[in-house]
Amino acid sequence: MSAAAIFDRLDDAMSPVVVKELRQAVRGRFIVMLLMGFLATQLITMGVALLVGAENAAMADTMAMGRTTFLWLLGILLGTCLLCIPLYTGIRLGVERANEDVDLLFITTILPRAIVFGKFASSMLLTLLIFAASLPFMVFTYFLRGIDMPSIFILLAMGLLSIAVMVCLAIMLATLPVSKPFKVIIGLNFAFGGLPALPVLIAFAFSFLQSGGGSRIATSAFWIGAGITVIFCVSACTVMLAISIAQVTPPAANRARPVRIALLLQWCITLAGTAYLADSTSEPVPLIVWLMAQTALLAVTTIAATSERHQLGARVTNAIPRNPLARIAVFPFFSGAASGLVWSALMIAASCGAVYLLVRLLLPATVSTDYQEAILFVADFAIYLFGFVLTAMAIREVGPLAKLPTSRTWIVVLLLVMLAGFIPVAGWILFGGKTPFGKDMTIWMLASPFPNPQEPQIARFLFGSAWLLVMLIFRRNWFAARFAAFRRAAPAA
Amino acid sequence: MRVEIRNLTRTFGQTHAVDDISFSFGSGEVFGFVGPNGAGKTTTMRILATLDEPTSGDALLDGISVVQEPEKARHRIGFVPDALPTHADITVDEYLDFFARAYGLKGAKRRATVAEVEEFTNLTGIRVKLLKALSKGMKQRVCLARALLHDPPVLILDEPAAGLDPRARVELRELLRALAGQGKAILISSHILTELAEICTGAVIIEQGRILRAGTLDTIIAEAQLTKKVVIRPLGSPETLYRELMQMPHVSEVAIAGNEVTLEFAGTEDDVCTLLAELIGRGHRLAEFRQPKSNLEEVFMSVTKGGVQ
Repeated sequence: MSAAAIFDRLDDAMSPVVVKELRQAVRGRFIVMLLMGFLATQLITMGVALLVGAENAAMADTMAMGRTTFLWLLGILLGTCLLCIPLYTGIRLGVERANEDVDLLFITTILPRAIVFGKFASSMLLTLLIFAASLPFMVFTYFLRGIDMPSIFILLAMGLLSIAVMVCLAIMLATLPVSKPFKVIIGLNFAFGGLPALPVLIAFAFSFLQSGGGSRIATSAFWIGAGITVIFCVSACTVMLAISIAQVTPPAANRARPVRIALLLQWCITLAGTAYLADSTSEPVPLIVWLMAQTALLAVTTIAATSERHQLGARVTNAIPRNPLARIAVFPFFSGAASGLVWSALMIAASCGAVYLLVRLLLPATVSTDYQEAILFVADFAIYLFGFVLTAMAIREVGPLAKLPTSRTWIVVLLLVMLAGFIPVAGWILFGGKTPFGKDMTIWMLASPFPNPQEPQIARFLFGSAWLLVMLIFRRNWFAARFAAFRRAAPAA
Repeated sequence: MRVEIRNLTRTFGQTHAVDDISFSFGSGEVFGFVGPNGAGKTTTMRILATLDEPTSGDALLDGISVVQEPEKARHRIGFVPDALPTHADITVDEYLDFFARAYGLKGAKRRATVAEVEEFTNLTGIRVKLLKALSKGMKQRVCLARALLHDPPVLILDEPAAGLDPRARVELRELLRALAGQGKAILISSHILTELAEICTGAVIIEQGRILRAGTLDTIIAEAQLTKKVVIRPLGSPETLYRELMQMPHVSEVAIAGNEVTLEFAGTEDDVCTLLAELIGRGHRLAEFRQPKSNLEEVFMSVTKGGVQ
């Protein structure tokens, strides 16, 4: 096979989105200016380091010169990539989403996942380009002493991983179906919110180098730690990309499936990693933290589920399996508010159950009751969460709110949460405790979605359970109708 | 290729953007999709292009449902939306190459197809120009070229002539004629009805989501022709002719416009012949005696009320 034929095959194998993005990147001014500015900064930093090193004999004696220079270079590299690449990716995708260009892709045979992965791959290729430009400077620090090659590559890999997470976050934010100003606000929040990640990463790199992290590369502890970090980062990326794909997919399709499968995968993988940590440290704390993080994530999916369609579209119906048993099994993985709520409820219950079982199995000797309190806390939170979302869904269907599109139900949920969570506190402060209920905050906070983890309150639990029960009875026909429609749905021949 | 729209309905909340519409057209036919703003034209076209889903009903391309099998349908549709391409930092050639890749064209075939389409749409001379540097007419050509890359048998064009100068309009019209000659089924929406009438074989007039008229252009115009119009240009004084016409049977609404006399005639074609013979018999020297046919614009104005939802 000739070189041209090999090149042709490689060219054909590349994602069209990657080809387009890279063509635009090299033609655009932003990337060229970024690269030139980055190289100039690296060069100046290296020059200054050499000059200071020549003047400062103490630094050379303590062999800190290579390490210090490396940390400076790493700071510049991560600062550039953590801020500029996600911002570039997010803005470009956001602008494309705001006009017809992305829309047009759907009349081609390209798949939504190819669009999202293409955007991610092209951003990572640009990152690699900047890393490649930085690598000679980084390796040069090795010759200045005080740093070893494995440390350099480990820290660069860590940086690459953190950039990948930020790029996924930028893609997810850019695909959110919100107005442009709202998108800008969210983007700026995350951009500036993400900036503190830089000093954290540099501090980690500093302590890693100080403690001779590179020398531990042959130990199993190092690889276990690195493995768990990679697993958590990859899980986070998978979930964010799955959400992005769902957002890019036309609303008529079964958009929920890739997101719920990705969430389930991250649930399994992170649970396995956390269980390993809990077992190796003989502490239930990692599992408690995991439970809290999963609950927060599932709370978001629950609120998002309320804004999904109530009726099955033709394309969704077409994807339903014919086997009656399989239909019941896949119900939680289909687009629709009812399916989403069932899926979230099952996942929260499974999370509590998994933590309880794992602590009993892996740490039978533990005397701490923290995990039980955490499970009760999550149960309390979940009861209120479902009470709120079912109430919000019912409210949205009556009166003037009936004009609000289903896709905006989440706003009603958040308004209800604000009403129940903050107004009682404001009232209590306003009346200075001189209320029919005295100064006890318990009764004021009865409807609040935020339980106090320090005080397990039976009154809250009973109130929340009664509320949820009432709402479930009130909405039973709605649930039954959705489930029946799913079971009866006839896919096309 | 036969495109069939069957009882298509699309609602947005309480609004019926498209309300139970049905029509069909086939290979070699150019169908004009006419209606006031907000009539439901773009919604129907987006459903046909698989970009939206109907609330009920379906659209079939040779039996392939755009609802049930959108992936298959996409191979058969070329869609030109009313928005122009806005990609930055990309040339015409790169832009078309990107879409050719997105349609799954590979290697040498892709390069040949892009070159052919560029030649057909007269883009060869500007293939290395940046998209953002192009005029509206050129961007419209790029849009059309993009829709032709996978050689679809059905073309859907949403307001392709909007904002184009006269020369660009003529060129677009010629391109569409050529495409219809190649056997493509074309649905085109436009507000420039006189131009549509020149290239269309049929039309669908829609208002408030409902079809008012649909069929071949001749049928629609004939259906709308309730009273006959007659224009007479006498060599003598039009006033004399005017007075005599007022007394003749089936004649009404007589008016003088310059050196012409126009009238509305309620009789049959035989009665028209009798009228002409009568006038000549009375010694009138007529330089012109004609029945002007209604055009699409007149039909549109007579059947639509300008209502919006």
